[in-house]
Amino acid sequence: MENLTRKEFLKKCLSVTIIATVPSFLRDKDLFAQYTYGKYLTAVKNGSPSALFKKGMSNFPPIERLSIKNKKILIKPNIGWDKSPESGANTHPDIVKEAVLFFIEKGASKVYVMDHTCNQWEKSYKNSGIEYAAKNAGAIMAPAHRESYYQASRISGASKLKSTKIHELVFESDIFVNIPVLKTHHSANMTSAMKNLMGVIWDRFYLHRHDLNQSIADLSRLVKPDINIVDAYRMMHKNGPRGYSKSDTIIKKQLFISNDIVAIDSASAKTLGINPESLRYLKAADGISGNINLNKISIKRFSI
Amino acid sequence: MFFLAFLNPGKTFIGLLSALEGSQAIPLFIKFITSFSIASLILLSILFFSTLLFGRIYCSFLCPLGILQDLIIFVKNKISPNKFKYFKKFKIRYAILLISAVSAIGGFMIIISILDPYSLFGRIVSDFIRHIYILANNLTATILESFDVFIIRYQRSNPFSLISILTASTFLTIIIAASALKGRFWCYTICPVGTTLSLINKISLFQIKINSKCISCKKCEQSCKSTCIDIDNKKLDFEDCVACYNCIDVCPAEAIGYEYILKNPSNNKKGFSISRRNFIPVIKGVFISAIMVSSYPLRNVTKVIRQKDKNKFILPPGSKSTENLLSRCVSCHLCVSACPTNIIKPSKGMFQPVLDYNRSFCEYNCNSCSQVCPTDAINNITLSEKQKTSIGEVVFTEELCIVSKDSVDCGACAEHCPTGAVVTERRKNLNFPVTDISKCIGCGACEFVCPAEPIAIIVKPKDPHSKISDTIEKSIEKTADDDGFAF
Repeated sequence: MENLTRKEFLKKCLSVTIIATVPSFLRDKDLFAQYTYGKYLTAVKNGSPSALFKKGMSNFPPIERLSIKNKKILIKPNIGWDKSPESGANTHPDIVKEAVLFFIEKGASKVYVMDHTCNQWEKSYKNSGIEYAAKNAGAIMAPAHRESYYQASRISGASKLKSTKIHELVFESDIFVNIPVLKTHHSANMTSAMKNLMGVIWDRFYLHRHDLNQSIADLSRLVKPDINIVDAYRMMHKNGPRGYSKSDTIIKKQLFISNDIVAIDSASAKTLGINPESLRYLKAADGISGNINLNKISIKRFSI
Repeated sequence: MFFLAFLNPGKTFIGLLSALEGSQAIPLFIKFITSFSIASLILLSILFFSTLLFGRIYCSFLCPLGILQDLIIFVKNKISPNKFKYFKKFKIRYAILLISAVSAIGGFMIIISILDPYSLFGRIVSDFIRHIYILANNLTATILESFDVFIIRYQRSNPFSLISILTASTFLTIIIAASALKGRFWCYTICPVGTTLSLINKISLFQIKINSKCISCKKCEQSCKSTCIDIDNKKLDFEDCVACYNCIDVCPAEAIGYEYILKNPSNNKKGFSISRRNFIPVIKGVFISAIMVSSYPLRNVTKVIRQKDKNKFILPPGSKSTENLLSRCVSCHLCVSACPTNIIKPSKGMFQPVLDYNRSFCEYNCNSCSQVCPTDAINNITLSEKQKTSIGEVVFTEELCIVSKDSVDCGACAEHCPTGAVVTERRKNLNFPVTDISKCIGCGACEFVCPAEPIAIIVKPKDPHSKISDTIEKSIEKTADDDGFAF
């Protein structure tokens, strides 16, 4: 190498330093990163509910970064309706079972499962099959039907839902796992991860009264699940969220896991054949609670 | 056993509950005269013949009010031993029986519902004691929950009605006072069932009698809850005996017990006694039966009274119509306690069950009220029948709806509707609720969840109830082709 002048040497040092530091400086800014830092979406297809879950969780990188030992876990499936597992109105009990087992095996101190149901709570907990599955796997089925379990919370930055009462387990637990089932919806058009959060609040009718879509987006500012797992094993593709007959559901055999709630709902919408941009609550949360654009997230796809 | 079943009828094993309430005298009687079913006739006959054989065993073993009184008498005895004394019973019970029987058969149910021991017990438990039970239950649940133990579940109680609570607690106080002081006072003074059975057991084949071994210690007279033993005259008024067997238990000389009356030599003539004394009850029986039969046509007259509240309230599925409900209900309030969402409340006036959609709605997957009703005021219908029974009709006012007023989505009504009577249609980029009354079963889910003020969707009563057509597709679930991920 030819001898460098001191000026050239200093210039080279400076440019190397700048180039070396720029990526770390701008690491979590969307503009420069190809994917949003630490956000992943794992999609699995063609298996039983248990197989889908296991394959998905073992290929979801953020899990490795999660400290589970001796922690309290809150699993929030969709247990909204007094309907059987075959109806597809609630999360599949096998997925809840596997989720409970997963965290217990990793050393969690307590695993709670709850939902503030729409139908009578004891019937919904029982007939959905989730109470039995969860208890057998070692979880505590927590009730959610009393106002005293909920604590008032302000939501900063909200435009419609400025404050609401949230179930105390959301505050008390260390890890919040959101496990919705994918369905269409009469008024919100789709119910998946973001809509499932309505089951941790006390007064859902306030949201219906004050612009449901904006309120759902506001809620996601405060309640941020650590993991979202969308049960698309049996998908309700019409007449959701309750469904009236067997023709309302289809066995899709898919499952998505993500730590970006907007992205997972975007993927869910596409799976139902809905344009994510047309979902008002999703659009309102875009850029705030996550990213609607799936190019911004690292997607891993698997088949069983 | 009765207490437990009545406090939580929704959770009691249905076989046990049916056995307990299906054996009750007045409900069986009402069931029989309104339906003439073979089952009720058989059960009534069993009641009749068992009394004819052994006396009023119903009063000590099946009647819940009798068991309650026995409990009170037992407790009082522990505090200060009972010393009952014989006294001649009031004749007013026959007048009470006549009035309540004629009105019941004639279709005006209020008198019999107040006086029927089963219904009275039911109301005492449902309208009063249950509130206390739920309070205790909830206190326990709250304490256990702080330790993450969720075995006891916090429950909502029956609708709070001051009138019902006061009435029930007043009756309970009267029963406690009367039992503690005068034993089975209700049974030998007021109870129409007791009076009816007393007319039958006067000629029953086996009766309790005092024999020659009696040493006049009076222990039996002092322990007789029915105050029917007169030792001074060595006689026992068996018509008032409720077959509690206290007397047999306390007698030190084995001087009292069941005797086959036809064995009595003074009465024997070919096994039958044709003395006038034994014919009087038979004549009375015939006379009373004649009155009862002739009261039956009164039902058409009292129909006017029953129809007065037609279309005013929403009635539980299975009750068919106001006419059917009011002609059979004895207001025992078992349904009030059985409803898992506690929406059944006793209506003002006649205390009969109506639905209140301010508290919650009628759950699609439930037919508890129809399963527990002992008189078939709420007919025992299957779950799938209930899911096709229309008890009301939805009425939607679009101008009051949030979607229309604020131009935002809501859809709480469509979300909750179990049959698809309320769905949404897309207009102006919003999802507007639309209704289809041919699918509406009137469950009230839409009314309960509507957040608009004033409310934009309500259920209006339907009288009589009708059936919706089986429009739910008998369809199969498809499996998707593996077309990969949509993203």
